[in-house]
Amino acid sequence: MKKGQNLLGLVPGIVLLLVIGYGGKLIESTISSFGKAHHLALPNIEYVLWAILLGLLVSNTVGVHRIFKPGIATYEFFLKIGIIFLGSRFLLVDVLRLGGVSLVLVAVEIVMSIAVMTWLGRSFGLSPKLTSLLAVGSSICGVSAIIAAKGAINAKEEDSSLAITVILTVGTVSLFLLTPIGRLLGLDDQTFGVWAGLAVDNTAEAIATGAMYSDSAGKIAALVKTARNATIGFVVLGYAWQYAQQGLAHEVGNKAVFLWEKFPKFVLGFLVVSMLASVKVFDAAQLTSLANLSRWAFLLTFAGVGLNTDFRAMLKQGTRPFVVGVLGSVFITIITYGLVVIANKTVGL
Amino acid sequence: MTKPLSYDTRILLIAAVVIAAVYFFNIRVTW
Repeated sequence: MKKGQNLLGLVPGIVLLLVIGYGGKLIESTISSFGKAHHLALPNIEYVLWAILLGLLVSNTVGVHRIFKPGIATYEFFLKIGIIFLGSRFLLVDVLRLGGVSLVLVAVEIVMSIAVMTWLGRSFGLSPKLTSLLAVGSSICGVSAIIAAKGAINAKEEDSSLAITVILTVGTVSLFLLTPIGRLLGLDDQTFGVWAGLAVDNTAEAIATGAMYSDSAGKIAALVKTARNATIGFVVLGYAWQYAQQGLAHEVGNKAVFLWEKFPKFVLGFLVVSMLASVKVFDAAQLTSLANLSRWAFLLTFAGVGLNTDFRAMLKQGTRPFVVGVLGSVFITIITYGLVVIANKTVGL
Repeated sequence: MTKPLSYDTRILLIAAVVIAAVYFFNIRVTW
């Protein structure tokens, strides 16, 4: 949907997203009805996991033909519009309360993860700008943060594409690991959702992690991750200023304009929809329709997550950035769990 | 010449159109 893109050219990829996503939904319902019909207690594996697995299977075996690529790239559009519709499932007071708590947790998480990623990057001999991109990607919101930071710090194209590959791969791995860990720890939906929103690098993967746990955990993960995304401008501005001081990037002109440009506008859409739902503009049936639209949009997003993860491409990139990404991610997962436990005991989530 | 709408603005506009359709035409979406 980006500028100059032919709408017809998007169709094959969007159809593929639909087929993969709907295939995942179909597998879930087939297993569930088979279990019911045969009185078997089969584990309930959410459609999210199936959609991602199907996508991974396609991208890592037969591969994705270039005709599908433009349409698959729209998964980011479906992610953002899905978050806007998700606003209908929240009362504004809950958004402000949990969003407020999340912002405090996010601030601590960002400071700690940037410090650790910077230290890891230096220890493993990565270039300072690649290290900064990895730090921004893992502390805030993955791909969009890396793209925003790339321009602001004059990073090289290959550094940003490498950082994106690392963040996406690490995000996909966390997606598979966090749910069993959460079950093992016996976390409730709310706690797990907050943890997934804070710990997983990329927005689509964070929401998928939550949704894999439960529908309600997915909803909470989306809210927390959105709060995390809202801080993008401040962190990128900090990096831009730091590199400008060293003469390695341009000075930022008007800081307010810069912050507004980097601010993810879909967050405003989410807040407006939540506000409209809170003042009862929509009736129950309309709210259900909006919530379902959000589920459909996320279904396409999850299919896109699988289709966009190519482990072969990752292996070609060398190991050091991945080791930094994985170690950083392990650290962030542990500290964010600590933060969630502390927040639960003190202010309550 | 008018400036083309940004990607983010277009997402907000599309969302607004869809929400208006659900609201005014009572379009039902099932899951």
